[in-house]
Amino acid sequence: MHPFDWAVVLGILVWIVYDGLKRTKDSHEIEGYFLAKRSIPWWAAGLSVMATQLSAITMIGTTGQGYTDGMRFIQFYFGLPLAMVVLSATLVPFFYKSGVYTAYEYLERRFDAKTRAFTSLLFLLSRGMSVGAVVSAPAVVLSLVLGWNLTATSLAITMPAVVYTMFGGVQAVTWTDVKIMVLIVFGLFAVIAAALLGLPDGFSASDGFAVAAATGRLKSFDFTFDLNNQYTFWSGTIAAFFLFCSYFGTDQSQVQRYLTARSVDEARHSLLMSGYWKLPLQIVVLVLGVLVYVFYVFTPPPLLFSSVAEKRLQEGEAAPRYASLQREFRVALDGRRDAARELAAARATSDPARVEAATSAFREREAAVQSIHGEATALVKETDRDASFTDVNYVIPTFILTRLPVGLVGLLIVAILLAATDTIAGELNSLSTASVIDFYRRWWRPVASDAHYLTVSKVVTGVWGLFACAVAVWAAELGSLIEVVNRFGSFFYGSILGVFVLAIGFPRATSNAAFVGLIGGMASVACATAFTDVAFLWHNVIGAVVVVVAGLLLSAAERGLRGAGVN
Amino acid sequence: MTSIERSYVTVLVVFVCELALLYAFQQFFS
Repeated sequence: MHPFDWAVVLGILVWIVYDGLKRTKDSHEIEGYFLAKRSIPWWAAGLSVMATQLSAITMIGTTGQGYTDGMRFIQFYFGLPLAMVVLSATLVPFFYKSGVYTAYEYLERRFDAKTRAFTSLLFLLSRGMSVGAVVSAPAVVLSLVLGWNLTATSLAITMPAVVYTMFGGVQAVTWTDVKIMVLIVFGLFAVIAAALLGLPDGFSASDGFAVAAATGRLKSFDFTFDLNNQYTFWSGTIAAFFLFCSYFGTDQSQVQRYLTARSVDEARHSLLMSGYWKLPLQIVVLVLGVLVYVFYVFTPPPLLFSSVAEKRLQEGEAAPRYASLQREFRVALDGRRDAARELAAARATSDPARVEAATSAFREREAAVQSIHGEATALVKETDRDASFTDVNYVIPTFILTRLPVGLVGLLIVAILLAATDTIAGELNSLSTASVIDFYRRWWRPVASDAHYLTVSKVVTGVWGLFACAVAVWAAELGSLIEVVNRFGSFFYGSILGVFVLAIGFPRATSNAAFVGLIGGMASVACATAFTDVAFLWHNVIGAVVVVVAGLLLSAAERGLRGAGVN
Repeated sequence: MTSIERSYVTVLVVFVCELALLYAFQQFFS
């Protein structure tokens, strides 16, 4: 990176931490530290909700998915707007008016202490380990692309979040999120502009989209009903609806964002903001990937975007084979570029037969390019004995580093780093809240001064921060463990939603029935994972439905037994 | 209709429009 880009990265990181530390107003008591004394305007809380979800994995992985797969991932978000409306009308007023700090605190009021403790523990386990995935995925890519040390990259992502979250509390998290969101959106549009400006003369954006469409990359709707396919219209609208209800309605990292709003209506509006903007934002993220693909139709891309993997191949025994693939790749790229030009020329004539022939020819050339790229990827997997290798995550960082002007490179790199930082900050803040409110204050020290709880909260935030750093630094070694824990998280997302549905929607549901139903829901999802190929989005539906049905049946049975005088 | 109920309707109407535009975009280039 150019020294000016380094200055941009360091300058913005220092500014973000400094500004976060200044946001300690109202953070001198526990309600200020965890809920900002409910003083955050709806738009800031709404941007914070969106920033917490938009991690560096979105910036690198989802844009890369747009490059390779196109727009079909957008279907994943079709259930989100309806989920936002349903949550705003149901859960949000319950949480806000009951004055709770955590979503799980509400479950004790409605059911009992064990249901609260169990759900909060599940949250701590899954979120505690997910910080590892949030940091390690971008850290591995950035350290390889930039040539940075992996530990230093992990710490550059984690430490700013630890510092400003520990001292500034939720105020610092929210207002930092607002700035980072603005930076990220600006960065996304800068990359789109660079990709469009890089198209050859006489080749319009419309021609570019036609080229992308010829490869199926603009296909955003798949109406086939297939329970084993993650990305269809039906899994995106029905199954993802359950996931989003659970994530935004019962996950403390999201609930805490809108509990800081000034009123219940402002809390609702902060959540509805995602309903308006999440879909367009994800479209921008995926279109960026698609346009970078179009850019590389005319500007020869490397055979492998991962320069480290490429270097290993060039220096190892597979060097002759790789050199041969590179030669074939160059020929295939020339053919694809010429076919793209012919397609644009055919569109200008408006001759359907010529357009169809040109589209068909382009598809053939594209298949040849992808085939050679597939062979190179397989060669890396075979040579490095790394079956999980994928080149997708290196596409956008490589484009940023090689195609953007000095200054913008630094801005985009820091945007990727901060996308991870703001997600971690939100998670640290919510982990600290659940630890202190649901466990320390509930079981250990029910009565103490605000100053005492505040000190404990800062220490707990720091401890979770150190844990995050440790998990991030050793994430490569913990890789399989993190994956196991993340899969474990998917076992209970729908089930926890089911418990909240019982709590709010069914006044006659009993606490024991809800608790047993929760265990049953998790067990049924574990069975679905082990014995079927049903896509994970549908696990949320299975978990929620089993908990509600089992909870209602067991509640009826319990009331029946009580009526019969059996204890 | 209260202000928040109007917001719910607006979110859903905007969502349907977003889907329609996305579908039109897909069909236009295919």
